Amino acid sequence: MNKDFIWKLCCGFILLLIILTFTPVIIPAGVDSPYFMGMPYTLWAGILLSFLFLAVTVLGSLVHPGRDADKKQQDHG
Amino acid sequence: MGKTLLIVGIIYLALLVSFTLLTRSKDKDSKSYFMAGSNIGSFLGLFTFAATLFSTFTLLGMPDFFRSHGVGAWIFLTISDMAMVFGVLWIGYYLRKRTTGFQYLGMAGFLKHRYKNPFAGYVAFIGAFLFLIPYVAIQIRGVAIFLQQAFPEHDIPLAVFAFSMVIVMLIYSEIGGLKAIIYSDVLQGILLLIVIWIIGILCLQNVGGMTQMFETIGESNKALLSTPGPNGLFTFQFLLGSMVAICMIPFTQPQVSTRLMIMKDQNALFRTAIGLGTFAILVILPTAFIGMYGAIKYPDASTSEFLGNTLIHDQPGFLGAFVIIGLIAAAISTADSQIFALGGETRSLLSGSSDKAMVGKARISIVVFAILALVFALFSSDQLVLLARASFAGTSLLAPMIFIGIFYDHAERIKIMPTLTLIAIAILVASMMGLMPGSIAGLRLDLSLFVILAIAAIVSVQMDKNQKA
Repeated sequence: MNKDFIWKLCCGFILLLIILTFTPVIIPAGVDSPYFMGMPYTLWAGILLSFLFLAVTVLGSLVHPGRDADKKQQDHG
Repeated sequence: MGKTLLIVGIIYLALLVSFTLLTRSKDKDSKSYFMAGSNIGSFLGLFTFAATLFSTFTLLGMPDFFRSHGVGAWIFLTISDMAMVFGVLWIGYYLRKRTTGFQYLGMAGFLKHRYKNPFAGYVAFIGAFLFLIPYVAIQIRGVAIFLQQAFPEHDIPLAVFAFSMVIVMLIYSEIGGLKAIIYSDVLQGILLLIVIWIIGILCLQNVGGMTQMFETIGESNKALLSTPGPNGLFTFQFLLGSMVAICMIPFTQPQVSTRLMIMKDQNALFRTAIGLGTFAILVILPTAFIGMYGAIKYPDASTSEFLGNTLIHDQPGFLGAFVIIGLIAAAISTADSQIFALGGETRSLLSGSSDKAMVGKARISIVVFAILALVFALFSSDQLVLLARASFAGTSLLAPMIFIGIFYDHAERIKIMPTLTLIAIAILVASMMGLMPGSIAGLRLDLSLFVILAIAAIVSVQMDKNQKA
């Protein structure tokens, strides 16, 4: 898989996570269970979701089309 | 606590003086004074970004938000911040690329250049000014109220605290420029993170640990454990509107977009973005513990009573001193970044005279903005988080115009966009002043205006492309 394709996948995955945030999967109205490590559902699911966002951001930074752009510019310059 | 407070306060002031002297330069040109030489690495970048974004709003506002509205506050801020961080990675690159060969000093100047029309710059400046001054003011007011609560026996007026903070902020930012602010941001960011975690853990221990804490809340106010919360605040529209507004911050709030532009290269920006995401999770999590502690111990107390007790009186004396200095540092570092960025926006619009003269004028404007923020701080509301959100929503209206400037090669041909943006800003301000309803057909006005502007931007660009094809 080339970097451009993985970058596009990252963008798509972020969009998916954003959509998921606003569905009952993450914010079911008035529902506080199941609990995990003592935390109510929306809180722990929200924390898990935050780490997923972070993981995709890390991956995205490695395959971003602009990565090393400055270096390439300097090499060509 | 008094002795510790004095020692910590002196150390803090000594560090500020050192930063100011270290960064002081007789020859202040625009690039070094307003953009710190545009050569900032990822460590400084992360902390200046974080300190600008997470401040009084986080340390004072978020615990109260969790206490009043429950766990949905995590979705409101953290998830929105994580989406924003990806936006920094994605769009930040294009903004930097678009400014290659152009001396970026502020978004207003950038838009004036891209639209080849000073009016676009003025609209960006008006938007930033109208929605940032109240935001600066609430930072100052929030801490001033907190300090009053911390020292009730001395009966010191709010204005004294507010005035003192503005003076300290003006002295070191006027002398040292953005570099002095960046160094103080590093100090404040580290202090904020340490203090907030110590308090968070102590609060958690005090209520018997995580499981016990949420069980107790479940018995007293179960609605806090899910969305939309006991007051029904976290609706789909509120959360979506907040996410849109927060995601736009790096491009629409000048103190943040400046930080995108001062990084030494793209990779430094990418590392900063990842660090910022980590920082967001780390700094917001303990505010949830503090807020839930408040929901158990002080469910009916006023905001200032809750914060004064939780952050100062319930903590060991030495920690209370660190909280007070940490809060003052937090408020000052965010407020000065915002005021300074407005100075940068002013400078970016100026042209004609020598660079030194224009920097001089912009420095005078910083003093004027600080005075305005001080006046506003004395009369604004105490709703820290909601006022901050109003500021994010207000500046987000600039986003469609800014994105055309970044992404479209012929932004100068989309003449309608600055006018439409100005009209939308006027409508939102009228609504905030109670002159217009806050929603249209059940849709929040801020969200509706943003969607209308976004559609107008897409249609205008498409029509322009079709005409030229």
